[in-house]
This record gives sequence, structure tokens and C-alpha cells, in this order.
Amino acid sequence: MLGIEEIASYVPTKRISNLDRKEQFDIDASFINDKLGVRRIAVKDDTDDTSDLCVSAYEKLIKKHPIPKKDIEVIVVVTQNPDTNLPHSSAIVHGKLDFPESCACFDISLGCSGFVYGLDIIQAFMEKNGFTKGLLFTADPYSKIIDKNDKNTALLFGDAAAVALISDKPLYVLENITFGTIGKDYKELMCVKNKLYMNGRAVYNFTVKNIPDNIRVFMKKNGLLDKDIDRFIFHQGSKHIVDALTKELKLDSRKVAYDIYEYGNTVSSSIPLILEKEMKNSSNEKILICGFGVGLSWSIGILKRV
Amino acid sequence: METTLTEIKNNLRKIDWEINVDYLKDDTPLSEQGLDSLDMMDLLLCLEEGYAVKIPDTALPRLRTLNDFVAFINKKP
Repeated sequence: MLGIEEIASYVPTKRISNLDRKEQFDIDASFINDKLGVRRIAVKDDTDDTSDLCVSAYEKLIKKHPIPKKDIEVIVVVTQNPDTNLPHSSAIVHGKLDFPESCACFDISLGCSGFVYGLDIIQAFMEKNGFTKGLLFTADPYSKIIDKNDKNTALLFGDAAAVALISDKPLYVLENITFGTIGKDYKELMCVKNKLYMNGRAVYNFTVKNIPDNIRVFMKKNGLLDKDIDRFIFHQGSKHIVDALTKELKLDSRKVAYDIYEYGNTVSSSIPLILEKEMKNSSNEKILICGFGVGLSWSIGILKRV
Repeated sequence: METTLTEIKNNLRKIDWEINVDYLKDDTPLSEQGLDSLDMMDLLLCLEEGYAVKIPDTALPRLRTLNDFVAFINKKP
């Protein structure tokens, strides 16, 4: 049985305060705290690239949970902002960390739904090949593509990376999963000429019109009631989005995680950053994770504590 | 049958937000009555679903007051 044994994350120390940009973007503190839910965004050093964030996350992982490098059989990096178009970032991470030549490496091009997809993919790959230890990285530093004057994105997205150790000694296993895509609306959130474009209204509509219904269908299909779930970890798009999902699904807000005030929306890393903390709580027996965004796509899964 | 300000306001009451719909003036820009960009997204979604209409982004510069929305919805076929 494969699953998540440990998660570690790296959030760069450099920050940009949204409160310092109130005048520039004609917003107030209430909007920043209560609607956006992001007071400061984390920004990587200019000299760091995507693979460096992964390396830093890995260094945090081995401090918590030492693993011989020779044991790692596969490295997957979920990113849409790789170091270069080629090679794949997982190979660069492999080279920088000097993993064994026998280690498989590949990238997954997904945004905010990437962690949930990635978990399913790496586990299936490992099971098929009889592997027992793999690393699932997420790192999508949007600072590489953000227009600093774009109100829709400049206040929201932060840089970070996370790494999940997938092994045959799991703390959490992925029980059920579902996926979806509305590709006809892909233009609402995309990179054009190396700059991020987001139609905030369209992405918000996509989320509140589709995600609650899909969660309800997923829960019903798997015989789950709200009371069966100890923690809901939605992609941390913004406070407004997480609050809207909580209200639409009529959830107890105390069961819904939200914690990006100090670093921002970190795309595919948003769920593992929260999960890293939530895994320490042994009363979290069942956790619903749900990523949604670029594509426009979504993925919903249930993590069960072993 | 044409919609009215009262109907529009009744629709907006379905939104779970901090805005008191009763205090919204009909002919004052909503942005001057405390509605921010995220409130506007909720308002647009509510009216689109309530009236089964599409309010395109291109129409937004003309939709500043509640009266503007009444006129827009009543013009729709």
C-alpha cells in the first residue's frame, strides 16, 4: 500500500506586503484581510529557479525525515513554470541532488489541480513498477510570469515548493479520486507572451458553479457525508473563493482550512503546504483535498489516515 | 414581463454577503456604495443565474448602478 509518508515545504523568506500597495491598487485593509486573504506574498530570490525551490523543499524533508538517496526510485515535478522548456525540471532536480541513475524522472504540466492529480499518477506509476519510495514535488513560481501592475494577479500569487514522500509506509493513503476539465474556457487563465493573464470573474464563476456540485457528486458516489470528513483542504485560491465554497457546500467553517495570509496562492503547492501541518493532527482521519484552476481543471480526492 | 428594482434587490438578497441590499441606492454607482470588485463578481453571478442571462465583460463599463442593471436585463430578448 502506497501513500504519503511525509511532506515538507519551502516558502522563500522574501515578502511583498499587500498593505504597502493599497494606494497603487486602490484597495483597503479590509479587502486585503477579509476578501483576498493574502497580506503578503512570498517571492523567490531572482537567482533561484523552479528546481532550486524543489531542492530547498527536499532539504527541509530530509531534516525531518532522513532518506538514503539510493532509495529514491522516482521523482515527479508538477510545474508549469519550469527552469527551461527542456529538459524537464525533475531531471534538473535529479542532477542538483545527485540521485541514482536508476531513478525515473518526469514532470506533470498542471496548475492548481496538480497535487491531487500528481498523487494519483505517481502512486500508479510506482505500483506498476514495484517501487516503494518516490518524491512528488510541486513548484510553480508565478513571480516568473506576473505583471507587477496587474491587480488581478499581483496581489494574489506567491512562490513556494513542496515535496511529498510517497512510500510503502504511508501515514495517509489516497482512497477515492475524481477529475474534470472544462477545456473550452482555457483562455481564462493562461500565460500569454510570458505574462500571466487571469479573468478573475470567469475563474470565480467556474469555481462556484462547478466545484461544489462535483464535490457533492463525488461524496455521494463514495457514500460519504460531511460528518465523515474531518478536514476540507481546498486549493487556497483566495479567502473569497474558499469562503464561497464553504458557504455553497454548507460546511462547518471550522473544518475548512485556510492559511495563506503570509505567502499567497502558491498554485499546486497550496494543498501540500496546508497538508504538511494537518498531517500532524491524528484526529484528521479523513481529509478531502480539492484542487481547481488552470485548464480549467479540477481534481478531488480523499486521504485516509492509516 | 419586465423586471423591477424591487425584483433585482430581492435577487441580491440571496447573496451571503455583508452588503445591506435595502440601503443600496438605485442611481448611485455601486462602487461608490461600498461594493468592491469581488462583491461585483457575486452580484453578476447572482443576476446571471437569477435571470438566466449572460452579462458579458464588455457590458460591464455601462453597468454601474442598479438602474443600469434593470435596463440591461429588460433589454435582453
